[in-house]
Amino acid sequence: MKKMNAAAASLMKDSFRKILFSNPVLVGGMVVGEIIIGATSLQNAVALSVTFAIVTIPVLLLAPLIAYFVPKTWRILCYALVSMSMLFTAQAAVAPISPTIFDSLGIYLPLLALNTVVVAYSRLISEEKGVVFNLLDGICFSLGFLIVAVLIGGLRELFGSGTLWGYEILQRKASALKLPFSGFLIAGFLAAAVEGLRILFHAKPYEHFSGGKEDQK
Amino acid sequence: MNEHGLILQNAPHVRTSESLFTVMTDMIVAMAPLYLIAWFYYGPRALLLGLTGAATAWVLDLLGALACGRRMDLRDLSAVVTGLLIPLLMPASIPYYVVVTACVVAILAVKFPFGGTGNNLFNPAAVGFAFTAICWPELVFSYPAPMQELAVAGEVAAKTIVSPAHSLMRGAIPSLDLFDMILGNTAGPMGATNILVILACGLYLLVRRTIGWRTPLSFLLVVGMMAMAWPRSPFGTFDSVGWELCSGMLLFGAVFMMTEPVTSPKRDFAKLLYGATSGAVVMLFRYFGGFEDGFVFALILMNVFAPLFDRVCENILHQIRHGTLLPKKPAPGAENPPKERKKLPKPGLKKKTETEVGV
Amino acid sequence: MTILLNFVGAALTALFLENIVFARALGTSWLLYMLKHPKELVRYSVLLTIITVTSSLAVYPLRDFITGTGYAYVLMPILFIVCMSVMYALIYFVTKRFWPEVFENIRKRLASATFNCAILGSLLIPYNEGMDLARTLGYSLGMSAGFVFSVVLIGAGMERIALCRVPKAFRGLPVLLIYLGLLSLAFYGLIGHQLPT
Repeated sequence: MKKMNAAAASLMKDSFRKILFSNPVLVGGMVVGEIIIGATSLQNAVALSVTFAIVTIPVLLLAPLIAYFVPKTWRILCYALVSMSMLFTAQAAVAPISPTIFDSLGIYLPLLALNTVVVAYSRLISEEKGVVFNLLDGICFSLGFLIVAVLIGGLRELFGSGTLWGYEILQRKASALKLPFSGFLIAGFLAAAVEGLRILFHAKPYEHFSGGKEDQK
Repeated sequence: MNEHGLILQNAPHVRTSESLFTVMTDMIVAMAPLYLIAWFYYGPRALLLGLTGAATAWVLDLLGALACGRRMDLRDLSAVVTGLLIPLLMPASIPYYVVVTACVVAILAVKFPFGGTGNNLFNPAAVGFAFTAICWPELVFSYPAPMQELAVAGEVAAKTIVSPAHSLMRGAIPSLDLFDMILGNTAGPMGATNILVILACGLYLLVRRTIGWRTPLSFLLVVGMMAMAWPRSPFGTFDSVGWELCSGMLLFGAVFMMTEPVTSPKRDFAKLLYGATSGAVVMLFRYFGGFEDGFVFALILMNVFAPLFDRVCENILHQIRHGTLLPKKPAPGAENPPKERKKLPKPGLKKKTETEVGV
Repeated sequence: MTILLNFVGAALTALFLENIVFARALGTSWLLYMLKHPKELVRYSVLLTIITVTSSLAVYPLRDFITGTGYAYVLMPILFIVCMSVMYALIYFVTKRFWPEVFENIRKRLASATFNCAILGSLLIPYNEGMDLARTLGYSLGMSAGFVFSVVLIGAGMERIALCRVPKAFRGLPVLLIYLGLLSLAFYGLIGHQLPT
């Protein structure tokens, strides 16, 4: 019983780390592109996060099963198939947000079907772990993605268009914030903020994202 | 002095009177006449805009140094220079928040993440101005008529007239004569209209050796040649050269922004190539770009490629001096030939004579 | 003649004006990977080019058919992914059978080179903008070349950044993202308007 509690506690701690200090976007560098161009408003950000969750979590959950039956070379096809088929569900889930959501997101919503977590992370890591680990992985990555997308999208919409979720708030706006280069800059500063927090709290990043930072305390 | 008449000191032994402080104060002194002329044409608002920019940039730079855990250097005026450069690129009727935004972007996005002074990979003033030019093009490119006293605080509703750069972009002839343009009695960026004063400031900086002559000269030569070959306005090639050189922020940029030591190439020949290529790129932006003066975008693009010029120049010089493009790598076996050791005399007891001094 | 001009024009647009990394932010994850393993760049980019061009060619006749149904927004990416899977299988078997040395070289990277945001993007964008065959092919070629171009530029930039005193919190990914942003600003000056997503 104690062993299970300790294991559960460490799992929980790992998961909390994955949301913030091992954020898939800001620390892992995955799925960066769609956020930078897609998350120009809060509605877009929420749509992207919902799609990411719907497309990625089933793939991560099914990864051990697929790894058991399918030889290594063909697993990627199965993952692509699963995420592809979830696109319909994602489209149905996202449509109520706004009538023009698909126009404003353009190609960046379907592109999430082939995001790096589905293509690379699942093959590297999810195949060897159990269902609980993968479920927590999926939820934490989605939460991390949601936080980053909402922050970036909210900032860019508030100061770039003067609106928030479509409602007018500010008069003065800096429309350059909706362009890709501002997305890169804001993402860079958020990544630096997360890294600064990590150094402040002496937390260690998730091994697969660290890039040699484990020895930095 | 010790007993042999030598002065004992720690390194460095070769000193010059030039330092970061003197370079930056030279730049500030060179920009002061431009602010005075802007005061003459547009009233005290011009000075206040400059002060706002300089103060914002300086405070942000100090805060950035503090945030990185570095010592705050109060004599580091490079941020002040950036803060003074930015309002000179903008019209005098610009609201204060635009200048503040440009300075914030310039310092926080270009200087701070890369490590502060001397580490910026792009010209901060250019990036700050480019950001505001994209956000508020109608504010940044609408120039007030000169010789009107603008309100010091708040938003200004000034009489704006069409600038020569805008006329050239539309393919029309600027409605002023060249003499007026040289004296600055025209609409344009606050510090970039008075050509005579800019040339004088440039001469001052050249004499003080703060900037080199190679980059601005090759830049202006290429711009002049392209303006002569493909004039944008229907008449006169000489007039076209004059208009192109005197309109927009071309000359100002050539003197103050292109010569920034951190972002421009280091070798002399590379500086010539860099100036020439920048001239061509700026003219291409003028011919085909969307803004009436795309100088800052061309400058940012050239900053990306600046080290390439140094590298190409090294290869060219190596070819000229040694006949090969790259230094030859030694053959694998010949790296460390076994050295023949000279036979040294055996150390033995020498008879000490009276004249030898023991160490 | 116009076909050739269209082809070259589309290629140059995809390479400089609408660069896949600076203007469309696709393929950033593989960019980060390539920066760590620069020796694989040539291999990877050749694979990217071959897969993009062959997939564009294969999908082109089916595009009108899909647009006829009402679900083109989701069916189109699905069709492209199916096409990429077929290409993957085809390249796998063909190289394994006929060119075993090439197969050994590309075996590890084939999966990630095929199922890539960049390739899906380079298939979807010409479809969204209604380009004809010549421009589609030119655009695909331009996109792969643009990816290589951006890797080279950013690699050179990272060498310069290694000489800077980057603050501790910014080392690694943050300063790379900021540098990408500033490069993107430089290339924005070439287009001057927001691209349709």
